[in-house]
Amino acid sequence: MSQVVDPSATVEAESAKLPRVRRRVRPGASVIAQGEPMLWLTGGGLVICFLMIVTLLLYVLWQGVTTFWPQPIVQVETIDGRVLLGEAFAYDAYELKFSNLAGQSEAAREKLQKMLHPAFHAVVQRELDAGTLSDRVNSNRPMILKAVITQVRLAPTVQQAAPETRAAIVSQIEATLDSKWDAFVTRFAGEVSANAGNESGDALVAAWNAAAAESEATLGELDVDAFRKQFTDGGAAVYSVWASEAWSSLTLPVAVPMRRREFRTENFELTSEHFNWVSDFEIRPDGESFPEWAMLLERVEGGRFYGFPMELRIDGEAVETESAAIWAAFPRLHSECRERWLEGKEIDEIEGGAFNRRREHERLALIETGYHYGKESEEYRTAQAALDESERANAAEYAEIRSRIDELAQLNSRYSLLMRTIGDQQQEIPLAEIVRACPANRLQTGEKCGIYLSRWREFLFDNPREANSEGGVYPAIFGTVVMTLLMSIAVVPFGVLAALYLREYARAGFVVSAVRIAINNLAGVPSIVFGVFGVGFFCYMVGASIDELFYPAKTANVGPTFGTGGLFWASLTLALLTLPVVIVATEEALSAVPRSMREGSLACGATKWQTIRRIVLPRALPGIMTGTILAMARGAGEVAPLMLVGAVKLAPHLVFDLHDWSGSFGPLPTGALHPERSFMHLGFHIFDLGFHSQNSEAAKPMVYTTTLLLIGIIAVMNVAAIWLRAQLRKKFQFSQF
Amino acid sequence: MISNTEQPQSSTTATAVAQSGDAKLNRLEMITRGEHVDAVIHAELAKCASVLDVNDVSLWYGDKQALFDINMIIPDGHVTALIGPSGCGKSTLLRCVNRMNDLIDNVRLGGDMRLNGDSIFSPHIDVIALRKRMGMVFQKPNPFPMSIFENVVYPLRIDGERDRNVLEEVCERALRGAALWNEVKDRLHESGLGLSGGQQQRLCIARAIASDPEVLLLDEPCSALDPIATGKIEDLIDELRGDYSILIVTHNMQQASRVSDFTAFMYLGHLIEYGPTVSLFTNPKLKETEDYVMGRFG
Ligand SMILES: Nc1ncnc2c1ncn2[C@@H]1O[C@H](COP(=O)(O)OP(=O)(O)O)[C@@H](O)[C@H]1O
Ligand SMILES: [Mg+2]
Repeated sequence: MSQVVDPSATVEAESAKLPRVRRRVRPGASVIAQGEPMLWLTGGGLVICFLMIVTLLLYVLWQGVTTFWPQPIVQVETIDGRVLLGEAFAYDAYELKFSNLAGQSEAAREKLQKMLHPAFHAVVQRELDAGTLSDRVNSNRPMILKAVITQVRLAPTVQQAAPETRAAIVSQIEATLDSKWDAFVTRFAGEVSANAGNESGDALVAAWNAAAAESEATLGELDVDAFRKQFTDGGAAVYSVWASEAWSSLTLPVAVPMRRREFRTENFELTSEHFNWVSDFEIRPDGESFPEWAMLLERVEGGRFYGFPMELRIDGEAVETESAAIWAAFPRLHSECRERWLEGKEIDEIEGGAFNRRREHERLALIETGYHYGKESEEYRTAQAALDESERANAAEYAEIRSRIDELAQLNSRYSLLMRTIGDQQQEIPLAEIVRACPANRLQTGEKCGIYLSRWREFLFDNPREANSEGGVYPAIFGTVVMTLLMSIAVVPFGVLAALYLREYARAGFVVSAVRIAINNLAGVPSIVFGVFGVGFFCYMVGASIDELFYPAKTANVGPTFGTGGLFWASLTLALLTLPVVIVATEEALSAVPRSMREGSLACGATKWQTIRRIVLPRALPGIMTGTILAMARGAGEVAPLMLVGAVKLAPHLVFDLHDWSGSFGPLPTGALHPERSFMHLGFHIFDLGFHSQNSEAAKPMVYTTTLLLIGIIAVMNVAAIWLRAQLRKKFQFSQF
Repeated sequence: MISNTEQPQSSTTATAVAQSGDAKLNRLEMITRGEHVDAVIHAELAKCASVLDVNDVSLWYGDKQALFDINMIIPDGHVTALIGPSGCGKSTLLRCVNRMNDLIDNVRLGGDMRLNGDSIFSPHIDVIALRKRMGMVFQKPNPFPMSIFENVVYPLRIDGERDRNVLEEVCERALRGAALWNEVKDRLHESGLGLSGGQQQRLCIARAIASDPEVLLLDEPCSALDPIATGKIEDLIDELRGDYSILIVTHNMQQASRVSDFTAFMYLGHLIEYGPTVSLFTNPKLKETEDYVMGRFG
């Protein structure tokens, strides 16, 4: 009736048209929400990544840190009369089985049997207690069957039979075994339980042996007809063969946990072996001891030596014969000898090296004359005469150097140490050849620390010995650092310039995007491809051209200079490899510079370049630095391309040599830096030690320490990057208001 | 130059307003519809000596026109404020003066500006040299990541000035001019980024006046500052009056009325009314201006 429409009514009417939708909570949804499955998934992913990294790092850290700690020297006497002296190097757990008995000495077998028989008894007893012996035999049915048939096939009588007969025999046996199986099992079970009372297990083994003997006799003696008859009627003969196999199958689960240790026994020149594996059961009771005067000698050549000191000799005369007295007198004489040895080595390396270089140079000059004028020319003859002349002078000089070295060696040869090995052999070792000696079992903690540190010092600052498996990695550290620095010098300017162009000058568009994508893709190219490129382009093209231009005579007569792998090409190759890192980091840093700063500078009337140089670059510096250091870390850890462009196992000279300022790059003098030389590199060193070492077992610890070192260097670089970034950020941060 | 745009227009518009009583906002609506509207420019401006002449300036960002035939003069030695709702082209106009719009792609210019008689828009002009003749201060303080001293003398540094005495003198003069000297004189060699927001903005002003600019462009210099810092900057602008010609963009009406001598009201890229601040705020010729300055729209 009323004309007035109640407004609330309209609203209600309208809302009635639309069904009211209420959010319904599905049962279970709340559980999922509480459980947050993505939280667990994402968190789990993080934990797994983290665990993998931490495990790897901890493993390397532990192995690397403990390697140089002096280990005690163990003397081990085995039951078969061997005596070993050395350090426990590694161990390994394995399961001892009946099959291990074969090939052991009598004494060892006796000892093994004492361990295996009770174990056998325990296995059988368990089956008997549980009443599952028959089941066990039945479950081995196919295996036993196969073994019986094999035995029968191999029996001499069967072997001599005609093929049809043989096949007939086999099928007959199969039929017989099928029909008699259950009876056999019952009979066998009775036999086993009859012998199971004996806890030592000997009765069981005796029964097994008896069955085996009987089986052998059966298989060996019969003629074919008797054989067939016996096997078809399922009599004693077939049972004996079957039982022998059933026993064997019963021994399968018998295993005794056992440890074997690898002893580093060395004395290679006497024993021709570095290591010996010894299982614990082989060691005599109380056969392990730590003799007080057992000494470890680390030698310049020939590996380590383990033994007991007998005499300290001067001029072949024993001056000390008492172990303690020898050890008391040893350090002074030893350090004197080592000093002389080092002095001789230095004379050889520095003076002899300079001398050799000069001679080399003169000879090269002659070769060049020959190359330019021909060997028949007047010039060549003059040069030849001059060379002969200077060679005569050289000979005198060389003799002088040689005599000084010889004199030192002569002096050193007077001192030696007579050692007795554990095998009662004697060996005289010149003091000068001993790098480090210690009676390892007498050492106090302080002395151990001293040896530990001295080994680290040698590792970090000395040349490698023994095909790199001992001694130091100094040349490799040096090569890595110099290569990385050169790489940075090459990559940073190019990278920064390229990024500046891309970000500041280039007009954003298709081409710039394409270039950017290409650069990003460059980062994903496998590093070995860069190596191949480096060899092909830098060494064989650029390097060969440089050789052709500047060293034609040398190339033709001696060999390539720049036309082969070397420091310079390796650095450039890695520079190419790390270029994307620098470009991307720099671009990011540039784009992070606020627009307002550029505008501020431009509004002051600065040109674009002034703005870039004075405002943008300083502001972007932290980012650029970070990128650079990341690139350095990447480059320092790279190995694959280096194998192709110049890293070597053992470099005769350092690439930066303060005694040799003749370095050059084509016509450019580079002073003490020799860019053409091949170099050692930590990453390559690891690869070489681990996989190309003659004595890779002994090199293993070095692999860990070198890895630790490389990771350490890279970690230091990364931390430096982070620190630097934080510092510079702080400097350039806006104050908040 | 000004005379031809001034009187006739204002008279015609006055009659237009008088005729259609309901058409209060007609001008603004006309602009919205895309029709052309002439500006009302007060006669007082004709008497002023100008530092900057703006002649028929139009500007396009790509296809979109942001400024429509702007004609005005910026009087010498005075403070001129640009007001208008946000997006009306104040900053754009300001950035035309030192050709900062060159940095943006696809910008097209029409008309010309003359700084003390020298063309600004001419393609042959040396933009760098032109920018050296003016100073600009931005909405957000943008000191450089260097010391306070280096911040102030930056314009001289890029001119290759090396003489320490000259630099120190200029630094002190500029910092005193920006009323910052007493606060920072003991830490001239600390980073400019360590100052407070208001101090940073005054540092930017010091940088802008260090090279003795012919005109000082301020683009909402106080919008990122608290009221106290704003007060200091306003006092500073007051002190700079007379020594410098200042063109200031602000969307704060009180600020415009406090600091400026002349005020221009813009709307959607058009200049609507331009005259002495006092008359524009108390007795505007247009109803639209009155509405805007009274805060009735915008
Ligand atoms: N770089 C640019 N590109 C395109 N359009 C722009 C650009 N800068 C400003 N504009 C447009 O020009 C008009 C005026 O902008 P602006 O001058 O910044 O206004 P105000 O400073 O008055 O708030 C606005 O509509 C804005 O969207
Ligand atoms: Mg603006």
